[in-house]
Amino acid sequence: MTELAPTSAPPTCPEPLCQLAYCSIAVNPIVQSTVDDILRSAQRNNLAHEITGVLLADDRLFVQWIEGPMHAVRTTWKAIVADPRHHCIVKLLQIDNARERAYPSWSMGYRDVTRQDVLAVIEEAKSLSTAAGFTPWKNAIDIFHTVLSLEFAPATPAAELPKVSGA
Amino acid sequence: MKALESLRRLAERAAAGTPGAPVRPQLVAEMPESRYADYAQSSSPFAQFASAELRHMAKVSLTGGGLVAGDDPQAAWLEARIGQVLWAQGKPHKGRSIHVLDASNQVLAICDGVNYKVQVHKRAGIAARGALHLSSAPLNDVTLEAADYRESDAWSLIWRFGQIMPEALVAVPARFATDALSLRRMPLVSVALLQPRHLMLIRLFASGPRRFEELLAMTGMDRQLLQHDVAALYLVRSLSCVVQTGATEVQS
Repeated sequence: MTELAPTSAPPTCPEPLCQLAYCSIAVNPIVQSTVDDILRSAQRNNLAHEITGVLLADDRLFVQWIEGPMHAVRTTWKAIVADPRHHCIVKLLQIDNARERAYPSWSMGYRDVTRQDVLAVIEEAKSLSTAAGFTPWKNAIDIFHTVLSLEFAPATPAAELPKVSGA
Repeated sequence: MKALESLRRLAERAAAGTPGAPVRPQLVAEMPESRYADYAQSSSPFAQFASAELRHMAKVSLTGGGLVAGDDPQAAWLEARIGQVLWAQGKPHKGRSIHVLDASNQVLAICDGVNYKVQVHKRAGIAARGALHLSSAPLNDVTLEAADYRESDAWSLIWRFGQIMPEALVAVPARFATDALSLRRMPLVSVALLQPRHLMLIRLFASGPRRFEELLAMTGMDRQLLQHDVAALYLVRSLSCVVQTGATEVQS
């Protein structure tokens, strides 16, 4: 297991701080070389852009938290959305104008987790988005959660499957 | 809003056991040279479960349009028209409120540009006359009854447009009929608008990019119905083409 990585100096952040978390599905099963490739390819961008956070992954799902100056997070988010190694991306949380970093000493930690761990994070994000009232990504979290729930549902006899009508 | 505590616990659990661990970089996008080259061999757990269910789905009659149970056709039609207007004008309204009016300047919808919430007129229905248009002019001299409006959101209205309006099919680039399609982002639409076949499509896409004809064969859906589903996913900016170079085309 690749472990988290505390770093020494929390980066300064004079600009408004933005925190963002997302979940996504890897296009191909996640193996260590996939993660190493992702982390290696990102090396040159971490501290330079004052972004910290953490990346979690099981064999198929990514969860990442990024935080830093607003413009840097936006730029990184656009790149993340365009990255072809994953898809079905769902924003779990976004906090603009945060007062302090949640992971000030981690340039970007990584560890592998279980599917249950990922589901717990998604369920908490779902609760938070519900409690916050309407957020643009609340619906996507609901759908993602539903799809994951279907994946883990026991095999359903055909007779019990929902009827599909075109209405 | 507080941070995700479950994520923090996971992070701290790992960090506690790794003092002095090497610095790890962040995840940023760097396009690999070959992408999606082996998606056909993808062994996602989604695919295995989906295939069993698809065998059943193929026997189910899939006809009709994009309405869901309990829908008022007139209201759905109005929502679709409003969705068309919102989609056509793109993202410029982000950050400011706009209104959708009919030819007689009846206010059909009020769109909050900050969070994309939309108040839609409940009873306008087909009484909405002529071409709809947008306005950002203040509504100071217009009396609006809150009880006449119900809350929706821009993405759900655009989804409606994709589901039931023939014009939506024209909006989809032709290459979406032939190239592999990737579900870049989960749709931001209300779960209440999704039918079982939509969840099935999403689960198929979760296992990897798919071509239209492949989806057609796997689901046994009516061609036009699938075209509307693909259109709806494209219009809400969830679906992208996997182009020859391997890059995904993402609507900005």
